[in-house]
Amino acid sequence: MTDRSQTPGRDDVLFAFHEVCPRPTVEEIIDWTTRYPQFADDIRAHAAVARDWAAREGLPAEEPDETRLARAYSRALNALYRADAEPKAAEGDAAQSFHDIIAARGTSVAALAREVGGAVGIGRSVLADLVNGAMRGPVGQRFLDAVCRAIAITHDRFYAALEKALAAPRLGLAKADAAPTVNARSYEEVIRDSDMTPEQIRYWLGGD
Amino acid sequence: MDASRGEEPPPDSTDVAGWKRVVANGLLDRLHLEAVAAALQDLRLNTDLGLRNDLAKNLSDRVYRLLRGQVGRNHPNEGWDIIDRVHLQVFEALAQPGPADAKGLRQAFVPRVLFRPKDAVAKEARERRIPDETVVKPRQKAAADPPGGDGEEIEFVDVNRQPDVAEAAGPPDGEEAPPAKARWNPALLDGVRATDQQIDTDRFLAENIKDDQKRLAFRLYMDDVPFKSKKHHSIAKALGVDEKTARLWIEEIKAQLKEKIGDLT
Repeated sequence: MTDRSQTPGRDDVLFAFHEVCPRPTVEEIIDWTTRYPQFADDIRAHAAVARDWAAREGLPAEEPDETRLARAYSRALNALYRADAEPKAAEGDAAQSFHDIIAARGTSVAALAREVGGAVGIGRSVLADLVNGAMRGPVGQRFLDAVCRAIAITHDRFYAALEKALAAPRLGLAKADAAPTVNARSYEEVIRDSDMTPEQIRYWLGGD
Repeated sequence: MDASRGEEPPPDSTDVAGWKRVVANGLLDRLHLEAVAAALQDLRLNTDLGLRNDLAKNLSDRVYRLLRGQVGRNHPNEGWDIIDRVHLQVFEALAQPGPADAKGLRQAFVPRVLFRPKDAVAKEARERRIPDETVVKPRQKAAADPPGGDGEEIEFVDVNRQPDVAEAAGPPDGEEAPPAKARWNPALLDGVRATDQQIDTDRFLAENIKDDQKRLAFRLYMDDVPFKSKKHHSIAKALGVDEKTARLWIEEIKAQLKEKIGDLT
């Protein structure tokens, strides 16, 4: 069965073409246009660009003047400011919950756990405790940085969301004989009691 | 160790103190662009503006120089529009969390950045390309046709590109492939040698041949690739055109080149 999700897109094919064929030969052009007939015209256009650029290799690089560099820098800062301002504008005065932020990013707790864990890995239950109001602050620096990076929020917004989560915890399924409760635990307790490996626990409790 | 090529080990992307030391010691330029981009992405929301702006300035200047060094001036507004657009796109991608593009920039910054102007130039070329409405009619083989020709002389009925070029070039050579190892028609080179001037072919192609596919065809021709071949790869197959079109393109460029040499002599 063909896995359609594995079919490379236009940009993936063209990017790979440049990586593999920095100075495309006739054999390479024919090979790639045969393999990806749906992108044949794009491949030929990119082959022309690659050959043009290869021909210019070794020529002295032109230096943009200071005015252009300053203008470019100004536009770069504007792009960063705009990106910073968007979540703030969406947020308004009220702090957003982790669930709101995650939803706004179009992600999920599971995906967030993968993103935050990176190469080290982190238990999904840790993230679930965080977003459901079952984890008290302060949290470890590594965890704080990783979560903030993954969902692009400031430390202040993190702690505002944490407060909101603790104030309105999401409850699990209630048992028949008792009212549902959430006993928020400290960050350290959540990490230690998780099913992560000892190395992972050491990492997330460690500091930079 | 070549420090200018970014062989200095960078601090972790979230190490504020480490990056402040790098900036204070003037070592940013020694670090790979991937490392600076990762630090800008990870630190920008949770550090003071000073460090964020230092990282952004370093990255901005280096990206801008990189783009200017690669994008030729043979584009509208001498390529500045493409450079400005791509430069901005890079920072917009870095400012957004999560997208694959931003992750790609952390892993292979230069190839990812340079793919954008390549794609922009390719798209620009495709849009600029005039639909080839050239109609070629086979005529009787002329007695003077060189051996190895296909027995047909090309008649231009409607050439949108440059109607007079082909006439200026005279009849096509008719050979199946360019002479082995001879990248140039010796007659063309004679004119250059006579004036002791060197034609910069690449510059000639960049400045005079606006159609990217014709340029590519000519570069393949210079690689000794035949116009058409049953046994081997050919210009026609690589460019998805018929043999006559491939020949026509090459003759057209040769005619322009001949004209250029004429201007120099």
